[in-house]
Amino acid sequence: MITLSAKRAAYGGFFVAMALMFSYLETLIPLNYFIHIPGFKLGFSNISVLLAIFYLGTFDAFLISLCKIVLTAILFGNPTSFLFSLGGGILSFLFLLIAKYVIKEKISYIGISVASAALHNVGQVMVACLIFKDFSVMWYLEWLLPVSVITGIITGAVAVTFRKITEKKYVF
Amino acid sequence: MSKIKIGDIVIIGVILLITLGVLCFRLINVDRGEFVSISVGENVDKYNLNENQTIDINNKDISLTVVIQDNQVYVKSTDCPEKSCMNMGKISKSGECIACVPARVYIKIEGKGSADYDYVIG
Repeated sequence: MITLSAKRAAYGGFFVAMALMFSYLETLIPLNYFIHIPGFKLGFSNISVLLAIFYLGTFDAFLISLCKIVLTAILFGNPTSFLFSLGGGILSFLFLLIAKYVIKEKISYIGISVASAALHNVGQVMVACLIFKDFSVMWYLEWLLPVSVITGIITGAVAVTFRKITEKKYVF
Repeated sequence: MSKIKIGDIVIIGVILLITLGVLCFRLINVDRGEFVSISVGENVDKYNLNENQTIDINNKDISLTVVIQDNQVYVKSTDCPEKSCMNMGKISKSGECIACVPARVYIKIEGKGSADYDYVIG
């Protein structure tokens, strides 16, 4: 059913490695000293998931997302951050499916990226609600959501730039 | 360079609308805090916001010192690696909260409405 081609292996490895690099970059930038929202991240590792959807398709992008979540948690995180990433990543990926099969052409990388970032935050907050057994954690979304619009735009722009640089005929 | 499509604008618009809604909802419902509810894992203790006190918490190998003073709550010191709880500053209004995720500590201020406590310390 699933054939492993050289292209899938090469691209897959490349995207996972890229995602890990981005995650490492994020550990170097201690933005959460300036922005006092727990769980705030720039979400650059989403860039490789966005690109993987185009180059490899949704199933592979999901696998890459899972690999990224597990490996990032092992290398740079802890069991708690793993749960947060998993919750956020799954919700975020569900939207990517909707975007690809339902919304199709009416949305660009920027919109997908923004919604992906927003839903990732929603997923994280929902996991936090479960951990603390208290729905009032949802209030953090009041600040996380607008921030996710900005980080989503940045991430989407990077993904678009990547495609423009690597493909001569790419038109956004 | 960019062709922004209609879906993008819809998404950003929806998110900003939700944010505004949540903000308005919170501003309308805010009232003066009365109790400080500190949950450590499964246990929830409530303290009186009006009384100055210092509470030491230790959970999952992380200790925190929480101070209630002048109707404000803040984390005075902690050996948590993230320190986001200290950066959250002082909270005083009902609904505001401070959380330390690695230590599973969640500090929330509740207003007069919450009458469902088992006992009040202090």
